Amino acid sequence: MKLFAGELRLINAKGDRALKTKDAVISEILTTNYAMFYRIAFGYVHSEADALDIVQESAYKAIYHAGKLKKTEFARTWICRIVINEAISFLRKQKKEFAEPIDWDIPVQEAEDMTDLYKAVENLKPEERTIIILRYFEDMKLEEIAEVCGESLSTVKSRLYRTLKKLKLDLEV
Amino acid sequence: MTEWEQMKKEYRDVQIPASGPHQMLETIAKAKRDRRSSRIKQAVSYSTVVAAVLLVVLLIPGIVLFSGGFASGREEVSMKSDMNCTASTGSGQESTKGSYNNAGNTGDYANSMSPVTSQNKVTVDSNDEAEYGVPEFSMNDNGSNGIGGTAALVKDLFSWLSEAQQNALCEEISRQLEERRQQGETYYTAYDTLTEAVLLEGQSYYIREDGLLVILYAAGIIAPESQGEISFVIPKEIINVEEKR
Repeated sequence: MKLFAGELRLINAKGDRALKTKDAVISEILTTNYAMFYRIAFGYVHSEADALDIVQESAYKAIYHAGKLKKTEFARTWICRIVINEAISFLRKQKKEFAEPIDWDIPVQEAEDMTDLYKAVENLKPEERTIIILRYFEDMKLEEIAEVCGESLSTVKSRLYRTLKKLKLDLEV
Repeated sequence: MTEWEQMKKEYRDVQIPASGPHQMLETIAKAKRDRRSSRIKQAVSYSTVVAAVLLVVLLIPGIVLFSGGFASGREEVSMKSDMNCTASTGSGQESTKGSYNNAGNTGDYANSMSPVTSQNKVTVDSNDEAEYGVPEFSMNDNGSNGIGGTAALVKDLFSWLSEAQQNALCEEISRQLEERRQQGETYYTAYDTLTEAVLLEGQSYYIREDGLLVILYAAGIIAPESQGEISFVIPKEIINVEEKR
């Protein structure tokens, strides 16, 4: 016991206090924005069980690695990024496990009614789909999207323009 | 309702599982527990390593002392006062060996150069029409003057170069730097023009026995320290230094 008590004293007390603050902020954001994170994950995987797993995994990683968060004011975008990365990793892992491309988890009859727009959005690259989901479905500002994606604002804008052109949509950027 | 609006509506109307938020709280608690135990394990292993290193460091002198092999039979090794080194030009050529006296270091290197006499004056062949008398290299405080391989400070070099020659020198270094970059060598991009780098305190130069000017950069200034000291040999077309014997 003495050994463990001694080891615990080695841990920086100041760092502990900062970590507790980050924990509190991250926990609050996870619980209050749970719906948003779930919708983002569902937007990628279209499966309730998979979306739940992705969100739980993301929450675990966010708390476990809370020390890596530099400023608490960026916690929300940071967690968004984790969720998106987890969703994309999940899709890539599924692609490796299954020889055929992923189909939507919907009945065949409905699949026949699927519009070109749905197909076009589903066929977008992950980074393009991310921007569309966050901008038009989650109503995030471009600056926030740039933080989530870890890109510059100009890159996000140009990617958005290209994606809208690809989807042949005339929407306000 | 357009397709796009329908898509948005379907996205926003996604049903959130009721068990989700509760599971989230459990996940958060589990993550905190796992993190804490991971940190404790890390602290224990770190302490073990530190203790082991301390043990080795404290024990070894004791073992050596007791073995009796420490005090007797040790030969006195005298340090050479001059250090011979070769400078790599980066283009496959190596300069001839000469004494090297880095003005930026406080090493115990003796200066083997004799004072400037009329027999070892050097002249500068100016590339522009600026008038230059025959410069005499004066000794720096540490006794170096840039002649015959003894490095001196670049700021002293610049005192006898015209502005046009200084610019030509910097451009030549930039050109050689670009060539080396294209060959795959790594250099810091902050010194693209190298104008500031050339004038940095402590940058040195020397004149090879064949009369070519060599500019030296200490390790870590314009390239990673692992590349060591970097040198640039300046062709005579840029700066022509003739040694009159």
